[in-house]
Amino acid sequence: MTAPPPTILVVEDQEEVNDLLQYNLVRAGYRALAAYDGHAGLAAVRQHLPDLVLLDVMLPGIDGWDICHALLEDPALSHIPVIIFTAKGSREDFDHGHRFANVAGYFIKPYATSDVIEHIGRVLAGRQR
Amino acid sequence: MRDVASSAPKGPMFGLTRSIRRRMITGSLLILALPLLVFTLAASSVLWRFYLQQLEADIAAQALLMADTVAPSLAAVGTGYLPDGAFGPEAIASRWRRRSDARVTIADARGVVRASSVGEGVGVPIDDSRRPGMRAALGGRSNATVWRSPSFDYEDTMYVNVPAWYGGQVTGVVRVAHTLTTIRHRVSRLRQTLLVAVLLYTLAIGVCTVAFAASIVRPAERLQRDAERIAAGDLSHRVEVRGPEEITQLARTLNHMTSRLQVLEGLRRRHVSDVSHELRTPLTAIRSMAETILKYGDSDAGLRERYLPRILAQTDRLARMVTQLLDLAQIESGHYVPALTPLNLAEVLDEVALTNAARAAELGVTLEARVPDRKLSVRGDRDRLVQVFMNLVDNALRYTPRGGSVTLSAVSTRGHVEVTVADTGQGVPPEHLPHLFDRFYRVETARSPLAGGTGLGLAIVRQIVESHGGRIKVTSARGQGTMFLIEFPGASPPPLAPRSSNPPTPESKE
Repeated sequence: MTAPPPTILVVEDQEEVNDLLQYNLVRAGYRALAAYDGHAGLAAVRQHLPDLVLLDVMLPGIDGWDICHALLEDPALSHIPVIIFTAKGSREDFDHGHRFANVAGYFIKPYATSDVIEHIGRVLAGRQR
Repeated sequence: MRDVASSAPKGPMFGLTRSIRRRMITGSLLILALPLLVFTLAASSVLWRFYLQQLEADIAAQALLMADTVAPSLAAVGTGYLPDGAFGPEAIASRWRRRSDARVTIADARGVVRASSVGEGVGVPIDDSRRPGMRAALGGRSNATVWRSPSFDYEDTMYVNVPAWYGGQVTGVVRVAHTLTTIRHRVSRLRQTLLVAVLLYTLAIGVCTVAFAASIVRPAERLQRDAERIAAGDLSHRVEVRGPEEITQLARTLNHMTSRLQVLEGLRRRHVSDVSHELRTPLTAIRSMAETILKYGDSDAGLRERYLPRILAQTDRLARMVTQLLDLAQIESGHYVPALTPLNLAEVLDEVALTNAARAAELGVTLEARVPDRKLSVRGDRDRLVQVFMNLVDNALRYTPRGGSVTLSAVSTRGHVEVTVADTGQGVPPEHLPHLFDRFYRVETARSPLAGGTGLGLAIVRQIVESHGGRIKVTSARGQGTMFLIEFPGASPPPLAPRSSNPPTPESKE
């Protein structure tokens, strides 16, 4: 226990899904934070400066892409990697994701939670180097 | 498969090209060239007859002149005195000797040939087979015949026989023969000239028609290429609106159709994307729950207890959604025509209230059906209408807090039957009202996803009501509740007489 565990913010409006992501993150050794709509998500990023954000695209309030954009605009937040979840699974969404420099991953629902956890590990390891 | 695809679009077009061109050429030839041909033939026939008459008149005049001249000399035949010189038969006949196409024969009253321009048969009686009509003219009547004579190589020849009168007596006959060769040549030369003119004219018409047909067919071919491109899926493509009026009209229609298709295609895509999203969302929850239980269930006993019932609930919701999607697809396909039978509304609404009684009691909500007119009925598909009321009640129960009430009622007003489902819930914010009947539209805040809602219930309700010729409206007041009002056309319209004879009542003015 030399360094504190990385903090992951889960922005997902579906309560069950959000809860399960948090549970899995905690079991994998991370610190998990939750937000259930766009505005709360953005506020939570500003407040807690997480190490990574798991972001659903379809959110009440402002959507995931808007949050991505807002994070990139802010020099204090633009370095935070974002992993996108989408239920649309359309080509356009995927292409859209690639336009954001802070998007570090893209998962189409329903995803395998274990894949998401693994990917988080890779992203964070890459950042540290 | 490939052959069909590649040949199918070309077939009809090629047929059209051939057909329009062929029709136009046939048409122009029939209308322009054929009459000219007929005219040419008729004109040459008329001209032939005209020449023939003229020739006959000419020959007759000459023959008469000769007959008058030679008559005195012929009168002297048999008297022993036969005058010679310029007015005798020999002299007259000999003047024609140089003409190959005409001959003169002069006979006396007894039918003996006295002179011939070719010097044939002189001194012998007239041979009837070779000189028809000559003997007949001795009877005092002129005659004219056309005959193929061996003397003229069997050419058509006109013979005119004229009696020579002297002193009230026929003293002989003058016969003038003339071949028709000259006039035949004249007529055939004219006919040839006309035919060549008609032929050239026809060719010119043909060329013009082909060009004209192409000018009509080419824009059609252009439209066809555009239509094929659109059919291949390029719905953003538009046909250029130019060319003849009919073509521009067709182009405009085609563009209009494409725009409509584009709109429909957009709706379809959005729908597919929405459906995908709506199915993926519960699947995500189910997968996450199952995966987490599988991984950590042994070490965390609470997980199973907590999430297995939710997996079941989400699975049920998914199944319901699929059923409702199929229902919607069926109703919207246009194949659904409600089987209209009279339904007693009191009975139907009581049944709906009874079915939901247990759930309402559990939620602490008062649910009742109020139908004052126990005989009130509408015509409709019972199962579908029950589905409508069930969906509305289900919806109302979900948004009504403990202690509230949900009321079903039905009344007959102004020839309509109105069914209302009213709740005392928190009400729907006005900005959501216009979208309530859109599929997958849900008025839920992020933290309170009400389990079970598919977002399709109200869309189905509206489709069913509209397929019954009814209308559905929703009104809502914040904090006071929401009311859905369905207006069905009356099962039996009220008699018209009282309505039309009554002046408008204050109610109807409102």
